[in-house]
Amino acid sequence: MNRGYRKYILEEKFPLFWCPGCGNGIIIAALARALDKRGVSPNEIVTTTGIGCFGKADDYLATNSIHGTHGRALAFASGVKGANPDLTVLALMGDGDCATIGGNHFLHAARRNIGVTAIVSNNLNYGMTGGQYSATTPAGVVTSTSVYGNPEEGFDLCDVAIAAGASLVARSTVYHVGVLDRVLDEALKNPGFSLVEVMSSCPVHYGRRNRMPSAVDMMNHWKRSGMPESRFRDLPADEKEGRFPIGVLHRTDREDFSSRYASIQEEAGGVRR
Amino acid sequence: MSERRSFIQGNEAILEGALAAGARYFAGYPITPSSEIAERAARRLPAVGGVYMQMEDELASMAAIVGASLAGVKSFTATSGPGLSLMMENLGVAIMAEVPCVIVDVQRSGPSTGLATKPAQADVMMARWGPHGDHSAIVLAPSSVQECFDLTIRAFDIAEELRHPVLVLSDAIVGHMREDVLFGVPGEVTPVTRRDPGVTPSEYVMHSDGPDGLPVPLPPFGSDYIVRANSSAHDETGYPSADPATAAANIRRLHDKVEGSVDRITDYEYIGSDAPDLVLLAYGATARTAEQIAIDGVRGGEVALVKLRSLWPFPEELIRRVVGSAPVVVPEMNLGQLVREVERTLGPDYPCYAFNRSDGQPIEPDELRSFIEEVVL
Amino acid sequence: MKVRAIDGARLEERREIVLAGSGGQGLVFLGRLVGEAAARNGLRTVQTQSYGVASRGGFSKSEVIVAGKPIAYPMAMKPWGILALTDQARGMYADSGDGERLLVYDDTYSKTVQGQGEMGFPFISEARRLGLDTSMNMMALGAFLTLRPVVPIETVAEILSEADDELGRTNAKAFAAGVSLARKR
Repeated sequence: MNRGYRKYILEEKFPLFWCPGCGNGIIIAALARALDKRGVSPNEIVTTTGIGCFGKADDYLATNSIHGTHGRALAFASGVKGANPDLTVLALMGDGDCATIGGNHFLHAARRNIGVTAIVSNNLNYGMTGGQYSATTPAGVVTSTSVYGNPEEGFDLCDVAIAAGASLVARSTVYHVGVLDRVLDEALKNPGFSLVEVMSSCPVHYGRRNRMPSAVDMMNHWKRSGMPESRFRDLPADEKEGRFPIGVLHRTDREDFSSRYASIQEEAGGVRR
Repeated sequence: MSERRSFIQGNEAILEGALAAGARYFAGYPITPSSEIAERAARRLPAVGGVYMQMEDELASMAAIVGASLAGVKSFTATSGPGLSLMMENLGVAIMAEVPCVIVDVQRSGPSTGLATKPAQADVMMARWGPHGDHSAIVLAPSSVQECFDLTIRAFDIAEELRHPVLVLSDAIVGHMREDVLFGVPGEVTPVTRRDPGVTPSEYVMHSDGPDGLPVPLPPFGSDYIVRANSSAHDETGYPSADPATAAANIRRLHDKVEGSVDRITDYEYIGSDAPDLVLLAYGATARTAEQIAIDGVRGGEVALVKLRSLWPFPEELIRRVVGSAPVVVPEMNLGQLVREVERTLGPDYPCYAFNRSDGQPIEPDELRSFIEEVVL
Repeated sequence: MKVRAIDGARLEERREIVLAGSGGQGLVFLGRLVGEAAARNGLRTVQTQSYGVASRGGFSKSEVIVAGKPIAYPMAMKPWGILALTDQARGMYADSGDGERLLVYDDTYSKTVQGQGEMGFPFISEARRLGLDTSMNMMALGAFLTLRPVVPIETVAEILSEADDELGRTNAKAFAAGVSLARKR
């Protein structure tokens, strides 16, 4: 087996800080494999994070990093990529970071189509602070702040990204690792803004309150819920309930921010680097 | 060199100063009375190979300049009070991760939306204490269009040397007025540039000092060095740590490097005789009112002006030295902010007077003169 | 640190003008023109303006101070000359300045007689007669600067001649017409 992916991971910082059954480690490993496949070295990569469980992801990556503030990973990432388009820029966020407090930055990074790969570990709640509901928590679901059931609807993050203008939008789950590897590779190849939403397990907070208390329960849940888009499309409406499509869901060849700005620099008479 | 003076606005001079300092990245969100800086940045930056990014808000603007600076490009933003309020969050990141950058605040009347087009000097304490947690602040305050140019260059230099965000605290009067200015001649302005760390990547410790006692140079993302910028409490390498001793060292370092550099940062002008009967201590647009008083004189004694061009770290020793034992008057377009620091420095028994106006209007020479003649002297 | 001695001569050399009227009359542009002319002559100068909704209709003003030495207070304290392009502006400055001050106003539609320290000119009707309607403000500036020469007229004319478009040419013509209007008095 190719062990090249290990150079992206700070194994000396193990054990991982996350709870047993958490999906985050699976995402980190898939990301390392995808980076290795692209052949980009750690010093050419900038990982930006915010706050939350997946906001700790930079602790285990051997890349450059900005561990910033809650919801702002994409804003830091936009500055990095804007200043140096040659860097590979990642934004690793949870659903609280990306969809909730950072929702505005998410919309605008997608609209700007800036060349950042956003990887969202969506475990449908705020794990770090004890399992409160987020902007992706489904209606009716029990969390520590929705004990009578969530009165709000959750976002479909992929729909939001597509509407906002992201040039590549993909989804997988921590069960569908093959799909995850493939979509991460596609995302890293895309010059514009990419979203990879990874439905992830939080048995300790989310699962425990919603009849999926073990890691295996949650894996079975993802196994049942995620399916290739072609299959999902053909399902009868009543069977779509609780299920979602995975794989690359959307792709355009819209020009990315940095390419457009290079044209502006040329027109203004300044030569880009 | 040509002695011909340019005639431009304070806000425009700030942008020209930034360009002269080598800044090539601006991220911002337009807001009165600072928008001219963004507009000129949008026009001028791409022409010199730089980048202007208009962000979705000031939270993102501040985050973006931190990111761009770490990518190796000198970066800045410009805003006014309502925007500076939003920038506090990520200004904290710049402080914590020791990332050089420059923030321009063209002050307007507040709180909240306030008098959106009218001047004030009421962000002095926000500039010092805005971000939560223990930290220090570096703040420069121009009172003329020339100083807008000069102090912006200085702000970038200090930011690079100390690896700390520097605020340029302007105001709506200074930002919008036009004056004749002398730009530095290319080649004569020698901005501080990012240096090579001087050690191998494996020896590099991001949050340590070099042989010159200043923070080690910051290599850009993409070099052979790995740079870990961390908003969490961290050790010298930038790796997070919850160890109390490590946290204490982290916070102490950030504090001491600024407070210990007060002499390096302090910038002021003294106008008047050696033994005045009264000292005016002023900054920004109000310093121009005070200067008028110093020139015209007052009935009953001699007046000198200490025009502060740097506000934070507060130059305590300088203040004690220059005032001698003369009464001090601190005029401000606020209800009394910097005067608190002056009082703290000189002690409770010292004759220190505040003269304040907080209605969106400048302090006029006549009213300040009357106060001095009738109340102080 | 720089130590600078107080120079008592400074204020005497200070000259202040106020250009007042309503938003849309190009008062800020006029002020910038005067400031630019001062800077080109090696003079120290500062220009300030009313800002905000006032520049989109309603009262608007631009102040310029010119001196041979550095200028302290950047706003007008005792204007030497006032150009008032509306009756409202004329009223606001009726009592400002001292015996030396001159207020130049447009008397095309004015119903009141010329007061002490005032001088009225029919800028609007003159500009119309010469087909220079769009540059009435420039005609007023030409007349005003002839009577209150804070900067050399020639420098302003030179700056105006640099604008290579229709409006620029009209402005230059109107400015010259304003100068002769004042010289005829």
